Amino acid sequence: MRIKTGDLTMAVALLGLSIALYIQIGNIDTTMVYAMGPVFFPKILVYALGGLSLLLIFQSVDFTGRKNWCKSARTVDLNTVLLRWVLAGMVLLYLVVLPILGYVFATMPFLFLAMCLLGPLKPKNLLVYGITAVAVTLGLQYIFATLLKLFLP
Amino acid sequence: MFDYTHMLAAVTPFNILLMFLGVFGGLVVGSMPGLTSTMAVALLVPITFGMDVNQGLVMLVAVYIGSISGGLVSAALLNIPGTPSSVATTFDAYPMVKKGEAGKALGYAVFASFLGGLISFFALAIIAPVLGKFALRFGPYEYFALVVFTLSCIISISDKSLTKGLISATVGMVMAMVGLSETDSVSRLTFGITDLQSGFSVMPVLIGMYAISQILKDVEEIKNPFKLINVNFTAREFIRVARLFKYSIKNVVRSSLIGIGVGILPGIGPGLSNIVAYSQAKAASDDPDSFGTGNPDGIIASESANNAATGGAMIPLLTLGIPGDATTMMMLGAFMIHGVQPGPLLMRDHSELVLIILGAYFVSNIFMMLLQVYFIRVLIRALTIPRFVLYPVILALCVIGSYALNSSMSDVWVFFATGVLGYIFTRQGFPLLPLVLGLILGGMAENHLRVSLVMGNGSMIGYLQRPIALCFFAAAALSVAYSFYSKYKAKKRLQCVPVDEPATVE
Repeated sequence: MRIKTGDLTMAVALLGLSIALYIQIGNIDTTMVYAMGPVFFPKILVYALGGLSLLLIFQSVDFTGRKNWCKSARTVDLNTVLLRWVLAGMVLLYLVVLPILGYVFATMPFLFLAMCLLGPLKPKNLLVYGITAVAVTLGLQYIFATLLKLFLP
Repeated sequence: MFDYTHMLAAVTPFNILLMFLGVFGGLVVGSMPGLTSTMAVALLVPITFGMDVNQGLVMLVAVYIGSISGGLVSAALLNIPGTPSSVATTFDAYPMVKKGEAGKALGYAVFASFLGGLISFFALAIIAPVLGKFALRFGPYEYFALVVFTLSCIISISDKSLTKGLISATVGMVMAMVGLSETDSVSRLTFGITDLQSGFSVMPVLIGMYAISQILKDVEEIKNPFKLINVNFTAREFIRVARLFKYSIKNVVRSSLIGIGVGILPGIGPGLSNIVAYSQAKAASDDPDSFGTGNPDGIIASESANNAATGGAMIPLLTLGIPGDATTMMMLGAFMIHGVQPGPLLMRDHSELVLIILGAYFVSNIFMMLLQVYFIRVLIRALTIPRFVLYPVILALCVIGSYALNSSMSDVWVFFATGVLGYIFTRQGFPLLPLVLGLILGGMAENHLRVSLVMGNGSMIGYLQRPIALCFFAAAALSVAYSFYSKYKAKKRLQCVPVDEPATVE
């Protein structure tokens, strides 16, 4: 038996989601129930999602071992994976501190640290990152808050 | 119905400045490999928030035109298409550049872009009012069938797995159900989260899906600088090349018509038009073997088609409210932020807005050509901005864009969550386009299905009495059947060697 683990994981997660959504639909206030009401279309979608997830589970498993599945050409580089998720974590942290520190004091360090994470760490580069972080933060604040009169966090 | 003199309303001094900046911004973003036209619109939409509706629309159109055309710069000079719409441009432009004829390659590409845009403008001006008038006959039956047709088109062209395309579309439609229902104001699928009562705003979802997932995907090669080739592209060189177009009129017209036709089809747009036009130009050529070695006709076909497709994609957007591709989807979201709901009623009741869009489309095409002729060095310079500096700035800009929409952190969280979701979906081979289209069209599909069923006393028999709806259903069935057929053919062609998968469970 062969398994496409990525597809199977996604299918199981989506099946779980459709079950959670089905329970949510059961909780919808339907005191004014009428034909084709507010649960009509979501129910169709949840059934469809559940059915398609089951189909994907079925497609991700080869019970016969006869299917000609190609080996993925993609190779996993651990450093890249790490870099990717550290960057995502950094954005997450930025969003957490944004309402606390405010736009300027959250954005400047975020830009600087993200550039340090993604780029080379030579002294000349660090200087460029610092100047860019300050200039971009203040420039964007001027454009959005002063010129366009939009609120920033 | 249409008084075309209203187009002149687009040509105020401030609007001209906005178009200049919009086209330039679009060109810069579009020219950078990895940053698509969708990203260009996403990044520049927040700037339009503080503008009035006319100015906002004018700038959005300008950004769209600039970003599609900007892809030709990196396609020619780096052999990397700046946007998917320039893939076929690389086939002949880069070999020409390598021969030391960079100016010539850029000249052909820029002028072909302009001519494609111009022909597309006339198609938009002629077809949009007619289709808009026709669409006034549409009722709930036709609209529901149209949504089914649109989704089927997108799902059937989506990568390898039809199941994954369907799942993406369903997830998008489920997301559209979150919050208070439009008809009965009943709270649905919020999981008790109060911020979700108003549902998912389209723009943060689109920005997250296309910006975060793209940046996370590109992290792998972010440190590699681009190797640029020296370019000597002057206005004189451009005029000399433009004169040679008298030998390529047939190619320009054919490719532009292909671009318009492909652009009108939902979900396909400029991304595919350039490939189709290129292969047609090659098939029609007396010397097909020279294609891929620096044949100007290859560049002309690709660039005139992708720019013509922008006008094609605007036709269903303006007349039916149905976006053709990811970028027009972003445009639809942006139009809605400005209180403009594209569709037949917009064409009938606010034709002046449509005409301003048309005017902006025409002027932006002229700016697109002039800016690329006179400011090409600035665009090339933009290519040298390291991506490890650029991407954090883009992320910050996306955060501001998501926040500024409603001055709400909830939208920023939606941006982040959907961005990560988009990355995971892309990584696992689930196409994003059906998902975002499902989100946009989900509410429309629900409302029209419910109304049509109520009109038919709970039965779907009413659909059988509606020829337009039946045509859409038939077209949807055909597109899915064609998808099955082409996948079956591809499977037969594929010489796949069985291997032991690393993730095998015995």
